[in-house]
Amino acid sequence: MHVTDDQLLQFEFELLDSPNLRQIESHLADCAECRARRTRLTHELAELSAVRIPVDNLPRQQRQREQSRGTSWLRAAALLFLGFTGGFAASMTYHQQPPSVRAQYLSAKALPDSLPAALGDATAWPNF
Amino acid sequence: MFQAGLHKLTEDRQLLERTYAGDAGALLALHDAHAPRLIAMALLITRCAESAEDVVQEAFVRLWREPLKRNDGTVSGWLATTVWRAACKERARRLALGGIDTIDLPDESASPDLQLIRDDRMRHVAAVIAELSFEHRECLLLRYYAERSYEEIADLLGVPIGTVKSRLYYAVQMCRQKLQARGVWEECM
Repeated sequence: MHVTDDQLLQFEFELLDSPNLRQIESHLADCAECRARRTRLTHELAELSAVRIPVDNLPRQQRQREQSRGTSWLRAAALLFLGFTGGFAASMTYHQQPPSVRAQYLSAKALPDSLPAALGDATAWPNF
Repeated sequence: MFQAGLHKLTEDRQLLERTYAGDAGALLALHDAHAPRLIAMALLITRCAESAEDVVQEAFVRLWREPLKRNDGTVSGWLATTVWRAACKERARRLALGGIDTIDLPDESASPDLQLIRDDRMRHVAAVIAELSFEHRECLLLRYYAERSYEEIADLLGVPIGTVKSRLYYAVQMCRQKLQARGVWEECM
């Protein structure tokens, strides 16, 4: 008798008691069909985790692109600003929250002096 | 798959080191790598595209301003947890303003925010996740979008590990049933 999808889900989320767990492990070891269904469940879980929303799809980004289209002086102004969709201000206005600007260029002068130094040696970062 | 994951962790670490050295392009690269997933997660919590964008942006600003410490874990994990917390706060704020639960709608297919997802199949997947109750949805998002372990989710939510597993089981079961009913996934035994 094959493993049901419900049993496979319980197996996946460690909800089975020990006897049932061992029974299903044993069956999966011997049954290619149920192993294939388990693989399909794995793919389904991957698909549940695959929703993505590109930044360019966001309404605010689209409005900004429309506003800056064809205006060369706006593009020039953008060169002076450090920012991305989060919006970093130029150094003079760093601590404010400017409107979002898609970063095209960056200026070293826009980075605050207080920016922390690089993480430095390996002890400053967890080893993986 | 393990090697690919390790490579990603290393790449994130290198980009972060360059960020703290003053390379804003490195922060942009981190943003481009992680934002689509984080925005999707934030949208599925807040149900508002602008709020989702804001909480993700704020997470990156914070990443830049406040260097990660040794015990903050991976870049990806820190970003996801930060976005999740901010999104939940934003959701609570909007619910309080609304006075009623205007966010958890029964049918998400036509939600304008989900129209941001251009791929039909993915939009169906997002819709069934959005239709879950909040407690089931947040478990699923923490597991599969924030990539937290059962123990970490239990700690974040303040519930037993068994509860986390049960909620995940129920959430995935509901999503599967709905996607099969919609014809997106095949039915089986």
